[in-house]
Amino acid sequence: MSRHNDTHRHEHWNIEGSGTVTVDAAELREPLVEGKVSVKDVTEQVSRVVEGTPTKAWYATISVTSAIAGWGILTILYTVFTGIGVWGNNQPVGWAWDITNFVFWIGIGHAGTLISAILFLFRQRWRTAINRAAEAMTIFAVICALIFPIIHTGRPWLAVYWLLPLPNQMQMWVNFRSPLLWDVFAVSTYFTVSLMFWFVGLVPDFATMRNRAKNKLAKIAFTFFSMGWTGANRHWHRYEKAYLILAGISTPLVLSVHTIVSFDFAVSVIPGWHTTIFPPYFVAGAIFSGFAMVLTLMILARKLLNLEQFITLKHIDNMNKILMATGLMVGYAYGIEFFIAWYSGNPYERFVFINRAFGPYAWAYWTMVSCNVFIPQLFWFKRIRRSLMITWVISIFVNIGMWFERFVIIATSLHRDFLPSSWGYFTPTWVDVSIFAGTIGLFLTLFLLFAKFIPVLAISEVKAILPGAQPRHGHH
Amino acid sequence: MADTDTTHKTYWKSFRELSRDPEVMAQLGNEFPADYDEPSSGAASMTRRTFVGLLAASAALAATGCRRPEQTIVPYVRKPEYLVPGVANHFATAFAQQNFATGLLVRSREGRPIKIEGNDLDPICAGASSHLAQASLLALYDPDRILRPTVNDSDSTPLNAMRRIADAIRETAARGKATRILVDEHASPSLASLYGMLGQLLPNTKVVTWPAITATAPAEANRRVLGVDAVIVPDLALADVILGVEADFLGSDPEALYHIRRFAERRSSAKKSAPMSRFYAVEAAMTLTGSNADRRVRIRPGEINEFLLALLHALSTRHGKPVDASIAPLLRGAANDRFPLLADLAADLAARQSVVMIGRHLPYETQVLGVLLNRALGAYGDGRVLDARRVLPFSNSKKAGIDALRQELRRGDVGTLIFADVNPAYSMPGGAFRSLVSKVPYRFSLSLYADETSKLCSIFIPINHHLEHWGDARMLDGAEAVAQPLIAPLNEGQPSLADALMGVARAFDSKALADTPTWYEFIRARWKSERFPASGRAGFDGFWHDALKNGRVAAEAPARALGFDAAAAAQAVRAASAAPTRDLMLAVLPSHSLYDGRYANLGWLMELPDPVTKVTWDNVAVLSKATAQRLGVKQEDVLRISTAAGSVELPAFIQPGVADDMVYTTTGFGRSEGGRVLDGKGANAFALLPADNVDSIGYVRAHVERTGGTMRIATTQDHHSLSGGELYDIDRSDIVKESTLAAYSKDPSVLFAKDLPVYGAEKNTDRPISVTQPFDYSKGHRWGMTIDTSACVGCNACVIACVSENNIPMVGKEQVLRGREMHWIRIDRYYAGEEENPYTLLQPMLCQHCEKAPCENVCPVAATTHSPEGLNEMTYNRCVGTRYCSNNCPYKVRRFNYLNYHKEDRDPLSLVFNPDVTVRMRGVMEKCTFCVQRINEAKHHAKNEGRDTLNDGEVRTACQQACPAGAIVFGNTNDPDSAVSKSRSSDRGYHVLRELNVLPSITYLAKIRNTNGGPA
Repeated sequence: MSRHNDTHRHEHWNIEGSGTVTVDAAELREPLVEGKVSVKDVTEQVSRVVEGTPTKAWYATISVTSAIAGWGILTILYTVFTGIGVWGNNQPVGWAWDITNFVFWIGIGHAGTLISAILFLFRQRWRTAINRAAEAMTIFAVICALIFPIIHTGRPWLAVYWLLPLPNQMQMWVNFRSPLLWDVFAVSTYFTVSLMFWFVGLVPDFATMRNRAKNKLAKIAFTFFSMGWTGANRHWHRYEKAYLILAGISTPLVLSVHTIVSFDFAVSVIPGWHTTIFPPYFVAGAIFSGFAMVLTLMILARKLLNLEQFITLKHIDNMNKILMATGLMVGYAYGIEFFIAWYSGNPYERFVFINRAFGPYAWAYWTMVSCNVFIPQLFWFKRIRRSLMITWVISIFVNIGMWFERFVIIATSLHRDFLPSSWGYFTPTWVDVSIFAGTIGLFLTLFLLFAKFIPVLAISEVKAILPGAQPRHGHH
Repeated sequence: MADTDTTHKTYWKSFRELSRDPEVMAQLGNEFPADYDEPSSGAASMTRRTFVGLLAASAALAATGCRRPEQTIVPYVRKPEYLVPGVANHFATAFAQQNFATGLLVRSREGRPIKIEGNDLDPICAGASSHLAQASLLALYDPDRILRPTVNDSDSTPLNAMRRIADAIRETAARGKATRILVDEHASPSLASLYGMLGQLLPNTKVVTWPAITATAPAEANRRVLGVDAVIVPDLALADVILGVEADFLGSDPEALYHIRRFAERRSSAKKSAPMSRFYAVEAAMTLTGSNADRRVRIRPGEINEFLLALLHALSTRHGKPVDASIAPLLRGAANDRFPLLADLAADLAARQSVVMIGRHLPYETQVLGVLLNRALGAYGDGRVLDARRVLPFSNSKKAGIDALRQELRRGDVGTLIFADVNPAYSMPGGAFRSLVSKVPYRFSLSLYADETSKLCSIFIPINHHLEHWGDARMLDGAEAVAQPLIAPLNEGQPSLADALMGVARAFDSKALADTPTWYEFIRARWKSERFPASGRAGFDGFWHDALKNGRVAAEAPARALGFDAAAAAQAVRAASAAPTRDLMLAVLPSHSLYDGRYANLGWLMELPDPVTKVTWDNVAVLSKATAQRLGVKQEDVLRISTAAGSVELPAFIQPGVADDMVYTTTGFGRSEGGRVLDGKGANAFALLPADNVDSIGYVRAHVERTGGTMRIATTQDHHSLSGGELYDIDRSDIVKESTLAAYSKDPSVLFAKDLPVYGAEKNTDRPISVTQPFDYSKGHRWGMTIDTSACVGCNACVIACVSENNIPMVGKEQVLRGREMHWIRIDRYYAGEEENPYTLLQPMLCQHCEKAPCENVCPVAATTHSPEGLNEMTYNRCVGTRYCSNNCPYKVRRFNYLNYHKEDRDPLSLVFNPDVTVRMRGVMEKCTFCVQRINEAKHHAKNEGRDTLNDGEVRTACQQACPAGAIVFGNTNDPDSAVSKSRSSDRGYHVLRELNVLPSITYLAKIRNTNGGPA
């Protein structure tokens, strides 16, 4: 059956590729898959992970991550049963780690959509090696993100449905003027579309897995999820259309989600929040942080799952370039905020930015600037871009820096706003730390489950970028 | 056979009974064991006469209609005429903090007092009430009050305890020893009368007034120099120039309410009839009063006498204000040019009607200098600032009595000590209490709480609260008030202090006080004989009814002729001329919130920020930055303060405006017994004062060292000056506005010179351009408020009024440290000017009810919305607690229930809640509502009367009602004739953060300082 799939794959590319490729630059480029890899090898190599018994390392890692996730869930329950008072939030800092974590995780999710949708539309075929994992990461990150808007409310048992425009006999509607409500729509749309996009991409691979499955349970599960995929010509045709349409839908979402998240702040009156640069600044930051997280995970996965042939240094190099580009955008935003604070002549705005850089939270600000602006400058050097170790370390720095960026925006703007009488300072509690750690644990647990039970590479798509997979090679 | 008769069995309880044991048979007749209340000899306690007396008293109580009716769980079958469920009743009563009494109007719902307000008919308070009077409501429902008396640590009954006390007095007299009853300073003529009678009814008994904090020094100075043994209270509305010498007359003085009201009369520059007075403060500590000064001189405590002598010298030599011939020679050499402001001050004082006020904690010599200055300035006299008819009642010097008692105690002459609502075990200076009373075999305590003193007593009778018993009080102006109970004692049968003392007297001699067996009858009888004849009324009942209804009966205060004892004055001047000390001095001052500790178990007051330091839940060692640097002390370092009398450990608090080489702290903290709230909060500053300090406040030489530890201090406002500290100097003139009287009189627009531009608005009153449609408020009401920062002195009365009215939870020190205090109104404090002696700006800050409220549009569930009358409303039921509204509030006036702050509430504390206001659960945002429940209540009344709109003044917010300065005006701004509309049109009016264009409903009136050429 898998062979059957493969044959159709060629036909498909014939149809798609014939009209579009005029100059074949691919030969001049580095190959996207290294070494001599046959179509069968791809299937074998990816499926082996799913079909084999998990390694000890996998067990060890997931037991640690799920323990952390479990601890996070316990502390969330503690919060729900006791009150937000177990966190460090206060008056005036009404939002702190909760919304910081929310924006952080939403940002992480962005790389997935960008890679799967935008790079797909731009025919960046190097994306195929990483898109599956990046999309999975998006889903998991959004799951982590979604926890926070719910649990940060004082009464989450009501917030879970009062934030939705549900018809009711009191004719009590949500407030459509609130950016927080826009968030609900934006994030839930984003999550739904990302999930569908991911799932649609998985269907052919699920079918492959179904065909190979020997375990009865796996057979039932893969049969269910492959939705009767036979690899028929018509299936491929519909699949490609659906994928293209979903990519089209996802693309504006990459921009809209973080734009709307940034409205939470930009629409307010608080100096440091009330900034028109936020939408592009947040989108750039989201892609920046998302790519950093993809790198962090992929460099590990590449090693642990023996995917060196598929995730090559070219991938790493490309992603590092994007990282540096978005990092520079973010750095530009940091700079322009200061310029505008000065240029506006608004004393409150000026104060907030000077306070940001030199006030009680200066340490957080300079952590952010160092991690996001200074350190990524090392990527000007090709050798560093292609060094796995250095890339991995820098990606961690960027993750930290981007978390701090959100913290700096949210907490330092709130802690000293207009009336000096109300100034305060935020200090996290162990519960704040536990819940954030818990979401990291949850994220990693989900990722490990994904890496074990779902093909980490898009088998069918990778086959299309094997050297010689494109029929046109023969024609030139 | 009885046993075989199935319907008439003989039931038995034990074999011994069945066997008809004679001992058991004897007990069967006496069902109740020996200690039971019923008198064993029957006739002794319940005569026919007392029975009829009680019957009459109960009937009279019922007739006055203030007692809670007997209630069952079914609705009223016969509803009391005055009581409509859901409609509040108001009863006049009185509150006395020691000898300063004010009229109260207590709001009662379904027989339950829920809010204390000032009595409008009382000219002393004019409807305002102090934070302490209002918070005393909480004590009524304090779960830490003790239910039953204890005799030797076991439960007993009041009657039994009284009998035991009577027995002890009898035995003491038999042994030739004395009985002393220690009472607090008070304002009640009936109590004074009862105390006088107790001395006659009980053998070898004397009632000694031994308050914790008192003002003996000023009374003593008046007694010796002027021949008037009382504290004369100035009328500040009559003074053009006031000099306060560390006088906290707007802060912790018991009569502050009166002073604030009269002071504020002359602080609003708008009134042509009452031109603005000028207030100079000369002080070492930074008092609330000093922070309201137009000019403040920071001076070392040792220099105060020097300053006053120099001032007296300047007045007499340069300004023709003569001093007595025997004093003048003593002033030679007092001339002093070290005080830069002195010449200006002398000229200013001499030119107009002036008064000098000396802090009541300052020593006798300083008080005499004050008397001499006031004499020189012509402040004394009928109709003048210091009118000798206006004295604090019973404020005579207590020193002689206290000194005598000390002697007796040391000699071991005292056999019985009864502590009648005083707590010297905690409050006696130098902690000398234990050694002093150790020789006294019988010690009994009558108190609201089982306090420190009660723990050292063999009998403790818990007495009831001032809203549970009758009382009366003499007011400052000579009028007398009846204090009627609002509710039957929550602990049934709990006696009042007077009832308990009367019970002791009657237990001693059953015929004692036979005519007036109850305290209520005692008071009535006294009123009938002393007050009624002068009223010219026909019947006493009508007179009494009106007295209850109005809360007071006016009367002329007796005139007092002022003499002058030059020799006593000269002696004091000589003593005052002694070389000033350069040692580090410690001042122990009364706490603004807890006073002498009597309010220490009231969470409302514990969490009330100190008006100067903004510290809650603790007392702190306040010192200047220079002193701190000299001692190597940082903020929150724990200091060990030692004096000759003792030492305590307190955290350091660096405060601008404090003189160098001094430390001060406040009393009332550091209590250990009596309740769960007071436990372990702060340290007992009384322990630092020498044992011979009668007033329990004042200065003492001290040594200060670091212990090495630190302690976190929970302030509600951090130590930021207006400019934002060291970081970046920004102009925040659109938050607070102020000017000098001179500059403002010339051109009021000087206030707005530095405003940020608001696009589209030309003048301050124009509405700036906006992209959204404005609300249409043209119909009905449009609520608005003005707050006059010139009048506000920062007394915190509004804060407690708001807490009481709106069921605001207290959160505790840990939560305050986290910045989660829940007060809906706060007094923001900003400093300007030099760091050592800054100007203070106070700004009550509450929800501004913005027309374009930033909180409203960000709430995702529409829990905070705009009312057609301009209120920014909070729907608690709908709130899910995103806190977005709070983040987006430029004024940061929203408060979030981070935890279930009512979780720890124990019964009967829930009775204190205002039933018209929701008690908020955790996870819900809350904030000022402009007392929407009061607006709705007034609307109901108006609707019943067929009116659509409310009259001006028909609704008063809780903060407005409490404000003694009249700084808050609330009303309908659609009505051009309303007080608030007129006030809003003031040329001092401004909106805080106007440039944000949120259009607040609150207009602030800029602060004007009458600085006399000082720095602006």
